[in-house]
Amino acid sequence: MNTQESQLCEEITEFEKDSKWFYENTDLLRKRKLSGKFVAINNKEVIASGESFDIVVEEVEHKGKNPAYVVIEYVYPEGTVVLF
Amino acid sequence: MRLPVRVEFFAGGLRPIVTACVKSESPKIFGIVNAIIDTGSPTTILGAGDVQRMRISQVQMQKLIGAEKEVNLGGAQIKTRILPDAELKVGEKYVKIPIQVPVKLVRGTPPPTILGIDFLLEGKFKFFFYPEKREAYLESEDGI
Repeated sequence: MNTQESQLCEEITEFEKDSKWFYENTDLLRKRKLSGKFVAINNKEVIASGESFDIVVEEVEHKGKNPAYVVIEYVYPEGTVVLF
Repeated sequence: MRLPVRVEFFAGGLRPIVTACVKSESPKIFGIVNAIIDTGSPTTILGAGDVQRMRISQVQMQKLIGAEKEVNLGGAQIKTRILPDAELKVGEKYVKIPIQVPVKLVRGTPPPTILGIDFLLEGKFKFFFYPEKREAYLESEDGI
C-alpha cells in the first residue's frame, strides 16, 4: 500500500468512526438543541452546526478541514420518519 | 468475500449503511460518503449534501451528461444529471457505474447517497440484511 492509499484508508476509518458517533448520539444532539440543523462531526465532536448546509461547509473549511472528508449530517427532529 | 455493512438508526428507522469512496476522473470528483443500501431503488444517486461537501466546481458540473431529470427522494425534490464513470470503493471492492448526481435541490432536506440495484448488479453482490440482530453484509463471489 502506498502513502496515498494508506492516508485514504485512514481518512475512511476516521469518517466511519465519526459517522458511527453521529448515529449513536443523535438524541444527545437533539438535547443540545441541534434538532432540525446540520452538524459537522470531527473526532467525535461537533465542529460546526447551522440551518444551512452551505454555511456548515464554509465553517468546516474555515477550521482548516476538507469538507469532503468530514461527516455532515442533518439531525432529523424526534419522531420524523423519512422514506427513501 | 464479505463486506460488512453497518445497521444504524437514521431518519426514523434502521438502515443498512456503508461508507464508500466516490471517485471520478471526468468530471473530477472525490469524496467519502455514507450510503444507504436501498433495494427499492433501481439506480444509485449521490446525496445532495455529499455533492456540496465535495465542492465540485461549475466547470466540472458541466461535464455531467444527459438532460436534467427531476427526482423526488425522501421528501426532497432534486434535479440530477449523470456521472458516467463513477468509481465507488466499498471495503476492498471497486464498482464502476454511472450514477445520478444532484445538480439542484429544488426543495427539502438534502437526501443521503443511495446505493441501488445497479450497484449490487455491477458488483455481483448478494445483500444480507437481518435488522433484528443488526447484522448486514454484502457478499461477492468474484473475490476482487
